[in-house]
Amino acid sequence: MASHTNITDLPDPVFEEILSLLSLKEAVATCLSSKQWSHIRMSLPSLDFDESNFSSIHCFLQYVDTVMRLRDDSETLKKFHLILRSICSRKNLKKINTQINAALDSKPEHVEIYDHNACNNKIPSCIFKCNTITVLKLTGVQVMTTTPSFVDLPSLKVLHLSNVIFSNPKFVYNLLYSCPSLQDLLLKYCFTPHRGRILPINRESLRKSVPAYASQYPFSLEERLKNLVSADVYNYPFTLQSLSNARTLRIDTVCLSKFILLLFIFRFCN
Amino acid sequence: MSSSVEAITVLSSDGDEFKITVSAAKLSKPLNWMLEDVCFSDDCDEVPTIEVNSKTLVKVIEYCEKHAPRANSGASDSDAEELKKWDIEFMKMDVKDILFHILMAANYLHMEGLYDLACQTAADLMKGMTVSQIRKIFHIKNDFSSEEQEQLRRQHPGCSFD
Repeated sequence: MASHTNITDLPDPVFEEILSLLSLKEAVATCLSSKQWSHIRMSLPSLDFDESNFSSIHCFLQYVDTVMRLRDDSETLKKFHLILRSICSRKNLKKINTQINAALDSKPEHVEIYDHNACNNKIPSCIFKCNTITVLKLTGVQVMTTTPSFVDLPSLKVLHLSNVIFSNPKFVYNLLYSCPSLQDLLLKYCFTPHRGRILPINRESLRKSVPAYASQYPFSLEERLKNLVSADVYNYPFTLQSLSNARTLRIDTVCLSKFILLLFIFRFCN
Repeated sequence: MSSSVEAITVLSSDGDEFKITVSAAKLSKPLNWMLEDVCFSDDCDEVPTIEVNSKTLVKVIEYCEKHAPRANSGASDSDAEELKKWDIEFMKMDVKDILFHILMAANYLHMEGLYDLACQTAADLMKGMTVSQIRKIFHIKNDFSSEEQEQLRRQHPGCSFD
């Protein structure tokens, strides 16, 4: 072992291991404490941006912009995590989506976006075409795309959607259909606009559109979701048969008749 | 290796001799390989050197001896809880003098448990700190010129420097 005695002489992999245990803000502050470390802030593999650590949305966006701008594009981005807490103006939403797009260009594996306010951000549709993503968690966003060709998530293993507004309920079907590796599904409180109101996506709203749509695919949803291990669904708009590969299943029973539930439990017990 | 050997002698990089039990040495991959390759009987005059200074090696051996019984036989939850408390006490050490060496040693000796523990200890010391507080805790010299410092402040408006 060399005779270094300064903590800044730690080999990069050891230092990066320590940084991985910190929030992004703390990791950047640590990198800025020494010249030897300062370059590492440009290649941090995990970016977690949480607005609550900042005094204003303005400060927060400026910070996100700095980190993303200084980032070395050649470095892979493992995780991109964005948490928004205040209501954003249209201009700010545009800035946020520019950053999301930049993150998607770095071919991330793990993407989580939480908007704790009123679902007013229309998420860039290219997120559903990012074939490196293995974990995708979206809360409180709008999905405006409808075309099936806009979905290609061959690596996706974990999909958690909660409080998401879909401009067309058919897209939920396209989405599940395009995730052949899916193992863990959470689908809760998904909505669609209907005659000026926002309504939950349910079997009723899909009844007309999906059967016609489904015939375009050579497999059933059940055959497609053959790797499913765990599903946690509320108001699931498709047949429960399509989740029958799951080993653990949690269904919020509000929308189910007792009869269907009993049948289903019976099926799983066997 | 003779099965009767229960402890082996190793040399630190400062040339001091240390005894470590075989079960404790097994927590380190390189030491384990050494055990398999080298003759460690009493009449064997070869004493392997570990490239870790004496002060650090004492700590590393202390950690190994404490963790070896659990690593070898598994342990109940109450043991795990007790060990966790022991780890916290064990890591209360002088940052400048020893934490760096423990990190280097755990990395060099491929000791996963100690490595994770030391990394977590270092990270906990950095948590919630400003740039200058981190410099103070880890005795890091501020090697940026005032112009560079100004530039970094402009680049990172959301970062607390002082």
